[in-house]
Amino acid sequence: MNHGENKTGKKTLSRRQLLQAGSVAAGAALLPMPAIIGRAYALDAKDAFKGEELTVCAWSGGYLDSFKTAISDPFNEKYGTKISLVGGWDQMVAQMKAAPAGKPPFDITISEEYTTLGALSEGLYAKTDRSKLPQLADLQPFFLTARPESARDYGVPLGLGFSLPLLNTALTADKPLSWSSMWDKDLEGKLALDAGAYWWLIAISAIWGAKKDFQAFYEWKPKMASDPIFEAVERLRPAKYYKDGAELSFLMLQEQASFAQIYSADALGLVQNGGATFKTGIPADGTVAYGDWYIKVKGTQHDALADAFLGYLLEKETQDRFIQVQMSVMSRKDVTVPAFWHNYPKTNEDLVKNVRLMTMQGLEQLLPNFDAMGERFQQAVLKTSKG
Amino acid sequence: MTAETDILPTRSKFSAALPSLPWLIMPTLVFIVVAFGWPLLYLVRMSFNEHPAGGIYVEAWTLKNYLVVLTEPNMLSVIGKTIYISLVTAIVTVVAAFFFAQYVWLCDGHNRILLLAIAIGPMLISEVSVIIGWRMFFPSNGLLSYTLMSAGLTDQKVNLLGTELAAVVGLSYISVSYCFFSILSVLNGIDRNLLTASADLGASPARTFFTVLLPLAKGGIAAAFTQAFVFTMGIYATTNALGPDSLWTMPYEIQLQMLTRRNWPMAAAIAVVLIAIIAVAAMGIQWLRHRKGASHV
Repeated sequence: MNHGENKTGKKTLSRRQLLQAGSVAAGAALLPMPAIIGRAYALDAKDAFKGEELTVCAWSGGYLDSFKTAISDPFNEKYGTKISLVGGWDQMVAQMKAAPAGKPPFDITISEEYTTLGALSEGLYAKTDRSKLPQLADLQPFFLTARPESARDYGVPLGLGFSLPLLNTALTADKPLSWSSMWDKDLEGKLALDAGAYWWLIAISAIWGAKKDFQAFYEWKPKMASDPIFEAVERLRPAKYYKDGAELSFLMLQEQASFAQIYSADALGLVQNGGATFKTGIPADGTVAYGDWYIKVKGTQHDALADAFLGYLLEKETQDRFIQVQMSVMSRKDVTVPAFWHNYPKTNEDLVKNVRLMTMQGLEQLLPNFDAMGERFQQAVLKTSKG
Repeated sequence: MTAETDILPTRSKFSAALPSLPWLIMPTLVFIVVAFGWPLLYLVRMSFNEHPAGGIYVEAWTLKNYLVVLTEPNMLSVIGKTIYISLVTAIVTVVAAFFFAQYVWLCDGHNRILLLAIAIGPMLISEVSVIIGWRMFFPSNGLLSYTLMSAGLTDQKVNLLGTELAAVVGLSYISVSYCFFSILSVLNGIDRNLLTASADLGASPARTFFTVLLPLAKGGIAAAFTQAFVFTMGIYATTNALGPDSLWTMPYEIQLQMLTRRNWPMAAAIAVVLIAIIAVAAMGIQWLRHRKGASHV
C-alpha cells in the first residue's frame, strides 16, 4: 500500500494527479482556441468549426463558380464547415438593410467601394480585429492605403476587379487592347456597354474619351456649361447597353457586338467560351478598378468562423488557387501569376501606375450628384441607343 | 309538399349550424390585411421619407419624391413609356386571344380539347423560360433569322432582339392565356344560334361579328384587357431582356432606385404611382364597360 491510498481501500486523488487531470482538461479546452483567433493548425480548427455553417456573398456568375472551386470548397474540406455561397451585384446593401436585426442574409459579403460606402453609412458591417491577421503584412500596401483609415478595420482585401476591354477579332480588325479603340469609327454600332453600373463606363469615358482625370468625374455636376465626360459618352455608338453578365455573354457569343466593356469577374469565362478570337487583359493605357474586399456583416452568429474565413482569404495557397481561375489582381505580393495574365501589376509601383481605383473618398464626393448623373446617363442612352 | 319545400328545412338546419357570413370572410380578410395591406402601408409610408446621399433613407414626411415622379421629364417619360407599352400589349393580346377563343368556341370534339391544351401552354412556362425562348428566336443568329434566310425572304441576317416588337411579343405571350380563358368563359355563355339567326336575317359575317358577337362578349374583352394591361404594367424582366435599351418602364425604374441608387423612398413613390395608375385604369375600363347600361352577359 502506498501513501496515496487510505486504509479503507477507497481511491483518492493525490494533489499531483489532480493537477495533471486539470492540466489535461485545460489543454483540451484550449486546443481549439488558436482556430478561434485565426492562427490554428488545421486539425484544431477542424474540431472547432466542424459542421458549422457560414453564408458568403460573392459576385454572381463566373466569379461565384471560381470562388467555390478555389476557395469555399477547399475551406470546407480543410475545416469540415458548410460554406453556402450566394450571388450578388448591387443588391447587397438593400438586402442587409431589409433583414431583421441579428439575422443578416449573409455572414460575409464581397464589397467594392460603392457598396462599402453605403453599408458603412447604414452601420451594416462588423469590424475585424486586424491584430489577429498577420497575413496583412504580406499584402501590397496599395490595397490598404486606397481605403480611408476609418474603413480599413472592416474586412480584408482579396484582390482587385477591373473594367476591361474585350475584343472579338473574328468580327473586327485586330487592334491593340485600348480604351481609345471604343471611339474608333469601325466599332460604331458594335460595342456592348454596361447600363447597370454605368458609372464605370462614365469613368472610362472621363479618362480616355474626354482626356480628363478622375477628379473631373468626381466633380461632375448636372447642367454644367461644359460637360466633356458625357459628350464623350455620347460619341459612343453601342450595339447594346447590357444589364448583366448573362446578357453580355449572350451578346458576345451571339455576335451582336465585337467590342465590350466587361468586368474581370466575367473575363476568363468569356474568353474561354468565346475561343481564340476573344482578347482581353489590362490595356496598355490602364483601367478602372474596384476592390474585392470581404467584410463581416453585423449580426452574424458565426463571428469566429467568419474571422477564420477572412484569414483564409489572405493565405498564399488560397490566392494562388483563385488567380488560376479568375482574372483578379490578388492582394498578396507573392502570388504565382498564371500565363494567361498579360501586364499583371506585380509590384506596388505597377499598381499605383496602372490601376485607377474608384476610391471611396471620390465616390463620396460624387454621391450628392449621383441621381442626376444617372438621369444624364439615361439621356445619353436615348441619344445613342439604336433601340 | 313539393320537393323544394322538402329540401328547405334541411338547408335551414345547415345554415344554422354554419357560422354567419362575416366569420367566413375573416380568414381571407386577415390574410389580405397581413399579406397585402400591411406591406402596402409600409410602402406608402416609405414614399414620404428622404434619401440622404450615400445612405438609404431617413424618416421624414415629405412630398418631394412624388413631386419628382410627377414633374421630372425623365420620370414622366418613364410613366408614359410604361402606359404606352402596356396599352399596345393589351390591345395586341386581347385581339389575338379573342380570335383564338372564338375559334375554339366554334370548335367541337377533339379539336377543341387540343386547342384548349395549346392555350394552357404559356401558363405552364415561367417568365424566365419565356425570355430565354424568345432570346433564341429573335437575334440575328436566331431561329427567325435563319428561317427567313432559308426561305429566301432575305439575304441578310435579321435581328429583332432589342426592339419594341420583341418586347410586345414577349409580354403578350405571358398574358395571352389568361386573356384567352377570360374571353372563352364569356363566349361559352352565348347561344351560338344567335349567330345563325343573324345570318338568316341577312346580316353579313362582319355585321354579325360587330353587332351581335362583340357586344355580347364585351364583358370578357374588358376583363381580358384589364388583365393584360395590369400584368404588363408590372412586368420588369421581359421588357428589360427583349426590349430596346431606352425602354425604361416603371418596374425597371423601381429596381434601379431600390438597388442601384439605394433610394428606397423614390422607389416606393414610383411603386405607389404605379399602383394608382393600375387602379384608375381598371376602374376606367369597368366604367366604360357599364356606361351604356348593363352587360349582356
